[in-house]
Amino acid sequence: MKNLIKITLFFITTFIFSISVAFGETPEEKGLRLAIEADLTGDGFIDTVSKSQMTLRNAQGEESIREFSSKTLEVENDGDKSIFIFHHPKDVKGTATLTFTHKTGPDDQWLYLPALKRVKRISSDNRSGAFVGSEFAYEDLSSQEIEKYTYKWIEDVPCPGDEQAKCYLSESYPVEKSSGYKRRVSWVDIDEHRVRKIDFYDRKDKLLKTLVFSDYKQYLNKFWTAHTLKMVNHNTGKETDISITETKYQTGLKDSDFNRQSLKRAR
Amino acid sequence: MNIVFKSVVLLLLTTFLNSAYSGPNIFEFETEVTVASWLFPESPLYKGQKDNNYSIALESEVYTEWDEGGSFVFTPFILLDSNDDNRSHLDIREALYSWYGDDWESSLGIGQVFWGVTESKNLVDVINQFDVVYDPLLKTKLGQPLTNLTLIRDSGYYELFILPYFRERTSPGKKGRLRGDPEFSKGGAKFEGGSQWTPELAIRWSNSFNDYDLSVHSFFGYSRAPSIDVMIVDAQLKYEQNYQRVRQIGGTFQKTSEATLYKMEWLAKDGQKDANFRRGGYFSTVFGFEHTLYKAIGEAGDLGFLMEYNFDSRRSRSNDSLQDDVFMAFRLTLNDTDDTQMLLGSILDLDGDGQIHQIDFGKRLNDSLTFGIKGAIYQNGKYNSNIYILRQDSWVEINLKQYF
Repeated sequence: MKNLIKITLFFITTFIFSISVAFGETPEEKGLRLAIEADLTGDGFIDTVSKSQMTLRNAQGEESIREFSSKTLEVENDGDKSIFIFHHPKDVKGTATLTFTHKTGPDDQWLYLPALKRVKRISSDNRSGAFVGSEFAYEDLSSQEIEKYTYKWIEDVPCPGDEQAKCYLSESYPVEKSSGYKRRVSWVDIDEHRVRKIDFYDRKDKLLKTLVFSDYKQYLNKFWTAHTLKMVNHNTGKETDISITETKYQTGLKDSDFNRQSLKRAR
Repeated sequence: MNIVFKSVVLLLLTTFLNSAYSGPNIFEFETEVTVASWLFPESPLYKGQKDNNYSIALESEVYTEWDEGGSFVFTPFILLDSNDDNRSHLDIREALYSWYGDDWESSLGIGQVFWGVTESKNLVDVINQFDVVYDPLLKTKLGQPLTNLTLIRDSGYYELFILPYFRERTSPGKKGRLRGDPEFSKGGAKFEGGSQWTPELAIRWSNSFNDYDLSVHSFFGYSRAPSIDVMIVDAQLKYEQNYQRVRQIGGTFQKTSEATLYKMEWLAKDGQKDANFRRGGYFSTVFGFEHTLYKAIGEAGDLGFLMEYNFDSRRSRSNDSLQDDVFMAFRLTLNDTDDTQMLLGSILDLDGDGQIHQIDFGKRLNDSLTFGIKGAIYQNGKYNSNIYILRQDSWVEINLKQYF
């Protein structure tokens, strides 16, 4: 159903596009069309499981390491369901979150605290907050739904750091007021819709952070996954790298792997 | 306790037999050691009590899991205290065998169950007994022998618990602080019906509807909080802990609305004896909110404000200190690399029976070491009230926890 809607949307946009080519497609229409096209390339992943290592580096170069794994399930007609589990450092080992992303409105989120055996419903309003003290905000890591942004295409340019490839530069504007950003500027390659780089501008429209994606690998001949993400905070000089050490697609996860009971069992 | 021990050995044996049969696909072993010092700025009131004390606690966890949908966790705990023999104790926090499928889970052994939603007190947490001597702020629980079945349906989560054995509350000994005078005699507790081996039953339903999380439970068994019997034995005053069989229904409610959480717990209970040692029914509730200002402190620090009201229809006859009290607190979460967190709270009795001020601070020192400060100040209690009894026992704990 989700695909059907997206494909219909795609055809409608393509149709509008073909008309508007005659009359000229606006940058906003082109931005949305490209975002939908990019989103479609990720459709049908069904589920993924991944393990990651995060390196937090302050301005003096001191590092600290976090390790976590995540499971994600694609949901028809709505946002994805996901579980995040922390493994390192040891005092947060076993702490886990369960998130039901929604296309519109706030996401549902529960936190599991293993020392108390407590499942706590938490607010998802903190999307602009720092994820475990890193330079990534929760909203940078949550499931990216088309409906959460409006878009505007700027121009086609050579990809940053890869002059051979061609990228489109486009801007996206968060719909949710609780977002920490006024806009994001993305470089996405035209061939495969892989995001190469994102500049984040804060609410005052000042450049805040830059995220660079690299080490793309393709899974199941379809899904491109970046295995290295580097985030730099221009205000503080702090950096956070995410290195995805393991990714699996279509592992057979079920809806029942994403409820409050299975959250307590997550390891 | 002998039978509890035998059950644990049996469980362990079953686990190893099972693992030999299919082979666990996850096996984890972890240990944490906590060194803590309790400081009491004021001198003790009662004969035999010592000043400051030091303790070391060790908790290990063995966890195994099988592909077919089963797991076993074993978590022994030992606390050694420099002064108080009653505080030094051994507990099995968990020894739980669990099986699960898509829409059910079942477990057998010793477990820990958390049902609450509020922060000042969790009225509805009835499965486990509190480990009061280890943690006077009542966040730590003793392991509870149990068998459980949980069914997961579209209409909600349905849980059934059968609890074969009742754990009495830990209490300080003669040399310990945070007690009345005289102290409860060890092994002196009385259980209505005669034996701790009188089965208990609990059922619960819970579900989420968009922003709302709801639950209702019913419980038949021993009251977790003791009623205090005052006796004269050989012309000497004695206090004895008595546990009555009670029937209760209760529930929780939470609405999650942007940065504000609205929370409530309630309870209606019958069968427990009050502070005058009279049996009766009562109603009790905790409700309030928690509002968080994100990124209010420094680069990423959150500042939360909590306010809750505690009510108990028995009022002054209640054996709970929080019977007409307002709880107000600040929660600081710095979101830094050290995970620095602090809760600063006050409990204010509206009937004029004193105040309790609490602190709970924690941060990470390195990847396997954390540091914490906890404490409470008891002041202005009415004559003979719980807070009055603790008037000289305001305390602060400084702890270091090493993870292996």
